[in-house]
Amino acid sequence: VSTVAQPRLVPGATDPIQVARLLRDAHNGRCKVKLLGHGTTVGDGAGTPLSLAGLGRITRFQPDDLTISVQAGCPFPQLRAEVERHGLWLPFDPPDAGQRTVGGAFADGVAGALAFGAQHPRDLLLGLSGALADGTLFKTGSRVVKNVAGYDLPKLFVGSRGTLFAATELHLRLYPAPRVRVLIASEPLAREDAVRVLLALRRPPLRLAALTVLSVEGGKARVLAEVLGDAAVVAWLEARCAPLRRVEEPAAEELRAVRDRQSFLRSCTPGPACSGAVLPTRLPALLAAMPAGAEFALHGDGRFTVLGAELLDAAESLGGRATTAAGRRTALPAPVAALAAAIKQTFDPHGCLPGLWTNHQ
Amino acid sequence: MLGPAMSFLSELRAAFPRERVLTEPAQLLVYECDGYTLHKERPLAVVLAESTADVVRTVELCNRHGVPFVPRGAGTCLSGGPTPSPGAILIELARMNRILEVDPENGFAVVEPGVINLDLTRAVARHGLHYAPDPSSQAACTIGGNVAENSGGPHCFKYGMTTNHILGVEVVLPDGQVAQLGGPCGSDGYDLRGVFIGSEGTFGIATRIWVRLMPDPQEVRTFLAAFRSMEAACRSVSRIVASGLLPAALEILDDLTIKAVEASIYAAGYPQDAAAVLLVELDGLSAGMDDARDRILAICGEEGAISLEEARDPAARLRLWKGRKGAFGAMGRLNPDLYVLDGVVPRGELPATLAKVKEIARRYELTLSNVFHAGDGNLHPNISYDGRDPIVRARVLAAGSEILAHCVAVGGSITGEHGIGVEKLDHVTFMFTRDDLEVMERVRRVWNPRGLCNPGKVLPERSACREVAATPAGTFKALSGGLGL
Repeated sequence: VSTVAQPRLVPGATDPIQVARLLRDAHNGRCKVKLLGHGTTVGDGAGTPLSLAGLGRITRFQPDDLTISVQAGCPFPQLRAEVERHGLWLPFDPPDAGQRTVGGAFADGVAGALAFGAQHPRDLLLGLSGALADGTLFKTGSRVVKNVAGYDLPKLFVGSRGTLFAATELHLRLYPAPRVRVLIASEPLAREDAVRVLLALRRPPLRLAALTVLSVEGGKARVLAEVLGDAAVVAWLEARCAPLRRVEEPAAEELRAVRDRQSFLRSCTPGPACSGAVLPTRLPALLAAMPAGAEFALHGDGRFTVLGAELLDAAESLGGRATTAAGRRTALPAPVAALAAAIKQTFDPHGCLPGLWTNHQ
Repeated sequence: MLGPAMSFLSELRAAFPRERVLTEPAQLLVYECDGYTLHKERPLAVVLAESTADVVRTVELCNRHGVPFVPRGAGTCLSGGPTPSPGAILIELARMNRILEVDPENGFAVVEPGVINLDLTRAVARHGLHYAPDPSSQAACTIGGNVAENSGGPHCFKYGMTTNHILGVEVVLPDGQVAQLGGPCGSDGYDLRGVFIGSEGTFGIATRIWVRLMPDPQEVRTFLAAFRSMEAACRSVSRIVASGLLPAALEILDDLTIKAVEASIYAAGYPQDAAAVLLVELDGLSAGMDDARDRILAICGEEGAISLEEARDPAARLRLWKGRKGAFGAMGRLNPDLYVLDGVVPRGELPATLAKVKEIARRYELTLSNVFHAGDGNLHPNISYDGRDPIVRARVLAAGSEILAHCVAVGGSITGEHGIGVEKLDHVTFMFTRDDLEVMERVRRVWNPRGLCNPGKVLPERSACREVAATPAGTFKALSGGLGL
């Protein structure tokens, strides 16, 4: 967009056609638009906010088929409550879930602690309807649990942070709710010991839904794990996860909140911070590269978030990756960068939506 | 053969040892189609690639000469994905079959695309690991082909499709550049790996693949329940899922399939007086397994199961699965050709859809049997026919088309795991509007701007998509004849 015109937009669409019209107006007028849900994550770049929070309905729910369709602006807690009311579960725990819309959470694509042993959000999005920057309404994927018809464009939405197109309706896969869910945690340990415990708890036959080392005061760290399943399974796992012990409610919920906040890069700002991933067996080496007072969350699958240091070089020298809150990182390899730029160009040729986003967790 | 093609072939021959470029008609015959035999096309040549460099060299040469190219693994695809496009060469990847790295501690392996699915699981078994996606063709199909098609299998009800188990891919892009999408630590930026998987070889050629390895379950229990009606088998599946259990597999075979299996080398001891058998597999920790088994057996009993068998040892488990995995092979007894359809419906629609499928088969006077992933609502109606009779072939295609139209009408999909290929080009519009297809076409042009990489697959050609829908049958033929085309 060479000249950024003042957008003639009425923020707050309430149906997909309105979203398409507003985007088309922006496209034709070469205006910048920023797609928002509840505004939990302030997107990059300038632009008139276009809120999708008015698209808030659950449009179809088939508990027997383990699927649900929901408009992008539906509050995440509302979706979660409706799903749980039917004994089902969406195994996705995005940061700040209580303040988010469903579309925003998937557009952000930041997986929570459950991505270790449950699901990544990319695996839960079956299909979507959306509007391109030029106002074209389209759908991709499907609303059944298994589908390979056409290209898998829903994957492009997860983590795109509103830079490619607006999703107006999402079709999601659900799972039966675990009968029992408990949080177990260690006492504060020397942080190297905590990482050793984490690596031990990754080994089969143990199967934990989430596994995290969380820094705590005094330069120490605690190991947290989510144990899910039938009572017999949970009891068996708990007995084999020493030195972790069950944390009763409401302390468990408070500890989960700390874990989720500490795992979320954008809640760590201001100050130097980064997030990324290394191979799990290289977490001890990553830990060694951290300053003594750093605040961090390390997950069993190698994902990490660190406040107080930008470990970009350390992560990359360990064969991993890292980004800061601003998305700064080593440039993507040329063919990959060219593909990403061409995809952005094809969806949003006038650059009305925010620019490329390179932090995909 | 035209001059430009001759020039291309002579350069191709010069680039590789003689035995790795096939051009003789007798050599090319076996490459005319994959498991979808209703469409055949002879390739211009076949290159037997042994490395990423071989693939790059071939793709660059194709680009210089404007020759289309099609990747191929073991040729087990069921939708014509690796069937040669007109004038195309095939790049055969089956020789790229090395397992390059196994990292049991971090739970992944790096493989070449020609590694056979089951060979990978066998190779990592000593670490207590396995590769979860298990298409019925897993003893023959390759990981590269699985990536191209986003293949499924009986166990994807619990463990997901191929896309859930691929961490990264090295790809030779359609212009010959090499890109790594994703990797064992995930990726930055847009999920290009996710879009590449399932692109049916139209976005490039995977030459190195990082796969997730899963720990073997502590215990596996397999059951077979036989029913006097298909409806009772389907109801059992719905009740098992509604009870909160998440079995590793829920598979149903109908009466015709049972009889074909039992008369074949895949005989598994299925009750031949049953209208349907339901194969259920539970896996996971031993704790709680007895309770889950009791719940499943109780549900099947309440739904009137006429027999219930639990595999008591690994040999019995293999036997129960032998019938399911060999079902497609067993169909060969019924007729010379087999058309394996692939459609998906919401699980609750299974009984009505199966009744509709039966009615369609009866109307078209076809032999049709059903083997399907009941947990996913993924149907595989199998039409056994004699392809030498063109009238029968036309009836087979028409019946298939009606079945897929019904799947979409009840909220499902025209394919759950086989892909579009060439088979379903005419059915894509059942699911997608012109705008939907145009968006996909835009993405294809990003990856494959010259259209040389596996052309004529996944999406109908743009002109065809726009014109055929509005053109009465036969008009195009008359017009093209009149214009001398």
